[in-house]
Amino acid sequence: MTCPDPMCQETTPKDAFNDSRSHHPDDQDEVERSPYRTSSDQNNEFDITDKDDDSRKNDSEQMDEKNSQRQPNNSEIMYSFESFRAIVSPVSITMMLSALAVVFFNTEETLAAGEQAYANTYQIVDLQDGNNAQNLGASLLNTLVIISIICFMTFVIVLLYKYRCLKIFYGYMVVVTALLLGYFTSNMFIVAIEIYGWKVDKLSFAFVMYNYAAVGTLAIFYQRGVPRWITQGYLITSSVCLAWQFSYLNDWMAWTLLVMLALYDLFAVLSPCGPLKALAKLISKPGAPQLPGLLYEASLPSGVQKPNRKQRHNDAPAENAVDNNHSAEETKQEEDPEGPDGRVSDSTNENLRITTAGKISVETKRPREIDDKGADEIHQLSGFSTGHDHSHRRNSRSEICTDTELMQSSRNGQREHNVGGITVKLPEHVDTSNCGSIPLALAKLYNLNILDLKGVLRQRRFSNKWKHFYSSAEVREGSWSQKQLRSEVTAIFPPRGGIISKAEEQKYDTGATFVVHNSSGEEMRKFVVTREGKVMQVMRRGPREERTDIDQDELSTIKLGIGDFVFYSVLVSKAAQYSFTTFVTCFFVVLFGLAGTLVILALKGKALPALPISIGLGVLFFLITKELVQPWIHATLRYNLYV
Amino acid sequence: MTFGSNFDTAATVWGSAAIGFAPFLCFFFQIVFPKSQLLIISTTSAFFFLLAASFASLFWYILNPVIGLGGPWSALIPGIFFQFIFRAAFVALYHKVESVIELSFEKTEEEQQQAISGGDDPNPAEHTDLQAAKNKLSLNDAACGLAAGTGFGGLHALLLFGSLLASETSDVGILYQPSCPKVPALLVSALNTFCFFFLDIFWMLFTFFGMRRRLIFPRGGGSLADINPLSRPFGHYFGNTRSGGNQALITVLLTHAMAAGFTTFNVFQYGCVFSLTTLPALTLATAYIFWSAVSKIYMPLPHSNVRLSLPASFSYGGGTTPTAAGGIHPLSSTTPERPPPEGPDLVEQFRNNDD
Repeated sequence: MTCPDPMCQETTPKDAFNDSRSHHPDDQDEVERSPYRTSSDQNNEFDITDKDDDSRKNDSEQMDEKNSQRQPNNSEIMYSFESFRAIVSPVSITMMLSALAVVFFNTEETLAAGEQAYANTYQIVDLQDGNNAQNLGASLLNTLVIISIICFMTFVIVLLYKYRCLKIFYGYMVVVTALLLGYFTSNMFIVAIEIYGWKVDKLSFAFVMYNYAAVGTLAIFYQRGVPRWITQGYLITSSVCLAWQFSYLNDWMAWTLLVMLALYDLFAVLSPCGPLKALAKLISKPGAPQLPGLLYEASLPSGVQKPNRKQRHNDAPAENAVDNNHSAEETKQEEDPEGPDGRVSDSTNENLRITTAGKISVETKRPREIDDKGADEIHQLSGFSTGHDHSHRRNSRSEICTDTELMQSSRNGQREHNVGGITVKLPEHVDTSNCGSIPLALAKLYNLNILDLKGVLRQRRFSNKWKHFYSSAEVREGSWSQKQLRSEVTAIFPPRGGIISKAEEQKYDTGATFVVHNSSGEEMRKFVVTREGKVMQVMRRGPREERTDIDQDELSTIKLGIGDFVFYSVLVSKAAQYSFTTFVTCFFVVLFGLAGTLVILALKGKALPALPISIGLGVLFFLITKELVQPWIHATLRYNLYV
Repeated sequence: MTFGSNFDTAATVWGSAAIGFAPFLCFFFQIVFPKSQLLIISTTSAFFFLLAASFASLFWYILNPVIGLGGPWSALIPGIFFQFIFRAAFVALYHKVESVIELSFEKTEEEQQQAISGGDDPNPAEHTDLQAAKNKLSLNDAACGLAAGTGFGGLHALLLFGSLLASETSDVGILYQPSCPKVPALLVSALNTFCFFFLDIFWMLFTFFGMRRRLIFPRGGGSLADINPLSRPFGHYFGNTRSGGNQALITVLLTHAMAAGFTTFNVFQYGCVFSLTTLPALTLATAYIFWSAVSKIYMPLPHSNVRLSLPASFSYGGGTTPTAAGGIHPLSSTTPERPPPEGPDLVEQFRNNDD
């Protein structure tokens, strides 16, 4: 599953416009990456038109082809290597702890009792001893029901997330996590206490488990003031506990469920109607809230960050880490950064979202503040002037507007203006009393009508005749090159409204700086239009150290879904229940699947979910080891041979 | 006494585990784990061992239970053969990945050069980033050979020795076998594992050496005298040639067969006396062969990924730079008229194929 990265294709006005909200300039000094507005307010403010589906699909297909032929760059290779190294430790620890728990915190009696309990709960069709074909069929049917429920629940989560019913979602997750850490972990330890005869009284046990669950819930969902290693530890232990629970499934059910889950993961991530793909789209939007409790965050070593945006297409080292619970948050953002209206948004939207996730109560307010200001700004741009004739406004009108001679001839609802010797046809409703020279990218951002008096937008290069007037819809929907986007055109501002003018002090190397003034002449915002034709807003920022720490922290982490942890552990645990040889085999095969996927992603540039590869290889090699390798090893060890 | 018996069992188990797994754990956590690329190499090589074991067990299954050709060699021969094949396959895969990575670096360098020459270098920091990435990656045959050997040998140890260890852990009492009535079977297996791990390291290093020379040098050419190791100085016995690479690969096959063969002494009563002496001796001998035959010429030249059209008998000698090797003309397939300018200690005399 890949999505076009605007940075890696010819910049079109749409892409530039879409990227303008979150593009990272080369000069990072003061120009911040930040969304200009949240997705929910976009339509109200700027009346953005979506790309139509066909053009989006064509772009997507073209980008897929380009990506498949593209060589990975060094930053992508290093990022994929370091991502694997960062994630292999927690995955390995979880798998080993799960195997130990399943083997040593169980007896034959507990396994039999647990299997019976799970059969009563999860099996619609009972399995019969000795009949493999019938067992396989029954397992497939039972797991199909389970997968259907999982799919349904995922869609419910998607709907809750989409319509921002997050309190319900968070409440549910808090309850589930608390139950998992409290009740189910207690069950596991009770079994261990009974097996090994540990001397623990009920009161102490309840006290410890209550605190364990409470701290764990706080660490996972609140996170403030909690060291990251504690949160990580709790996520690992919750995965271990879940894997221990799943070990009670019948062998047929467990292995069939793993295979079906791998296939479901393929569908959920790669198919257009997959719930995980939909969730990825939603999460990738700017300002979208995080999904705590579902993702494990591992730190990358210093100096390793996500690859440069210019080099990052469908860069998804964590792309592989997709699971039923929607893992690999940044993967989904990178691979499918479509905005809410179907726009292809820049992948740095997710950077900002990740940045904002660290301080939810602070960062997420900023987009809303900007949106409110933006809304006011639009009104002010189109509102009545207070009479304060700002010098910028006077200058910005320039000779273009003042030289206009209004001709009385009207044809088909259009007026003809003679501008500098050029006859320009304008619709009757267009008022050119307030206009100024700004880059096309800014005019597109503010949905302004423009006059192309210099011919920078003309299609035919050597033609003396070109279109002069472009409506806001044409500007918005047109396909513009970088040069065109940064070229200055005459923008027609709302009469008696605000204006946009070039800043007196041009202090950013990234591009030209423009200032937005309201009808009162007050400076509202400052933008920089880069060489690539992208628009970036200059933000007031907090202490450099604080922001740097947040940015660095968010850039130098990789996230993996808890579902991946759980199902890898289930696979390895079931293998460990059989023998040590199969456990070791499946352990390494899972890690190889993870490594192979990361490397393939770096080399091929194609997005792949990791769960199917690891689970598929794991199941295959479990069977091979069980039937062939283990007997061969026993034959060699029988006489203490070694080969 | 039960307590003493349990204690003895635990001591035997833990002690044997320490002997068997200590080299793997040390190599893994000290050398492999700190570097991400070596970790991936190690994991992949472990997977290749698993593939080798799968194929070997399939052939054993055909030979022994199906055809009925029993005996220890029915299990050993497929194991030796397929481990050799999959070591070579792993190194071949490594070369392919290496070429892709080098291509990406070259492409990045070209882009930066174009940006500089065009006067439009938006991000000078990328130059240092590229160099930093190269330094971090630091793919070379020595480090990667060690990592691959660690992975290959590690899973080898875990599967063969770990299975026995796991089965012995749950039982009370210590298992002895007729081949070694005085030494616990766990300890014998642990000592075998210890030796085989180091052998796996050397075998993988030899395979890297051999496959690299087969990649660099074309077929044909050379003379029988090239095979004589004593015609070269110490550390160069195999020679930095294609035939030298072939010799290294054959050494792997032979020493592996010998090592596996020595363990067959355990089939006989008191056989561990021979197996526990010959196997460590073979390990030391393999180390000596590595030291004397390839240690000075192990690392390929910087242009190692360029296929040079040279006669097979041409040798670079012990230098690691083109200048040290003296007078290399990469694209010339004819005899160069001028002799190598460097001293005799480092450079072999070039021999004309027509001589």
